[in-house]
Amino acid sequence: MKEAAVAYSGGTDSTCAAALLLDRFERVTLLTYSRPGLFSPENSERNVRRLVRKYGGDRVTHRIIPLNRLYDFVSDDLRFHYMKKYGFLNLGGCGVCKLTIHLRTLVWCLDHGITSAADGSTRDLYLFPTQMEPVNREVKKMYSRFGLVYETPVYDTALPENSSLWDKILRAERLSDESGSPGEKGGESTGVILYRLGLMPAPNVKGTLMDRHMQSRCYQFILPNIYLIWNYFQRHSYDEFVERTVSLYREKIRRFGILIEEYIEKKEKSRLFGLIDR
Amino acid sequence: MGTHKVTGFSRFADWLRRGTAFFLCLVAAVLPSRFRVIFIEIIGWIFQLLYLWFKSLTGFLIRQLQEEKGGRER
Repeated sequence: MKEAAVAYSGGTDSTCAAALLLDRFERVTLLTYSRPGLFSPENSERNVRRLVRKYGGDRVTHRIIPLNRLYDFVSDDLRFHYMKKYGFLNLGGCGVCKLTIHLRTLVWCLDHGITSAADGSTRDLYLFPTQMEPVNREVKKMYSRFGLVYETPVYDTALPENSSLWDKILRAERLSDESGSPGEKGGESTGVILYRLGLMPAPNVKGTLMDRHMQSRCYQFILPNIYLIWNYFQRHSYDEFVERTVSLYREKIRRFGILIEEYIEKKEKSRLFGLIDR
Repeated sequence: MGTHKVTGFSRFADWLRRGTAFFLCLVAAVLPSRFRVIFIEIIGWIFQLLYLWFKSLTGFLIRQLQEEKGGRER
């Protein structure tokens, strides 16, 4: 049976990714993760119900998986080494969180014999390390090393038209980029696609109260972004930021690749096994 | 993309922003994972509240100015 796993927050992007995968796969398992500092993961069930109504309960499965120990490990792993080498770029909590999610999704796929994984990464959040195209390429390499395919089906979709002021502030620098804003890519936004598929009541719910009530809540992206906008970008260019971030995450991914290899080889006796909450 | 340009702010305000960001990150950097999450979450809440306060204040000022302008035109 053709089955895929989707790292699922419950927001419009990952819901759209799941919907697009359901056109190609017989079954899709939605993996929502919980960890300290990530509140209300059960909010994701709202859009799961919508997907189940449209595609059927036999094709859509949802799991909420805790990431506590694994997140602590990824977050604290060699932190003074990375801090010395990359400075506060290592504080990018969203990158660490997403990397933990990838690691857990990869292990979940290996345990359940699933060979395709996806998420709702878009060009929208260009300051988030694991939403950057070069970092995503490294993540894809990590999956392929273990015989898995990692897809980002909504990466090239357009930006929503009316995003919140906060999003606009975060995006302001990129929009002034001469090379073009990420919003110029693609034709439809994820919200519009979901509306067309009959999965959303309106074409653009991003940034609305409804959007906040359908996914986990986390404000830990604010401090790294404050650092970048108030401090880092005063001295460095966005290209330098991408280059350094890719280098940092390449190092991290290489280390975790070794852990996964050990997990495949030793299972219960491996270090990774002890870090996984089941 | 070029570096972030500060326009319309004093050098002191620029220094203050850079210093604040550096100090907050320095505190976060030395804390272990769970405490770092709590610290960064609190900072996130404070900035969200400041943002909402700023948003409502500017909204109020814009409304007042529009009413003033409407009154003068009448």
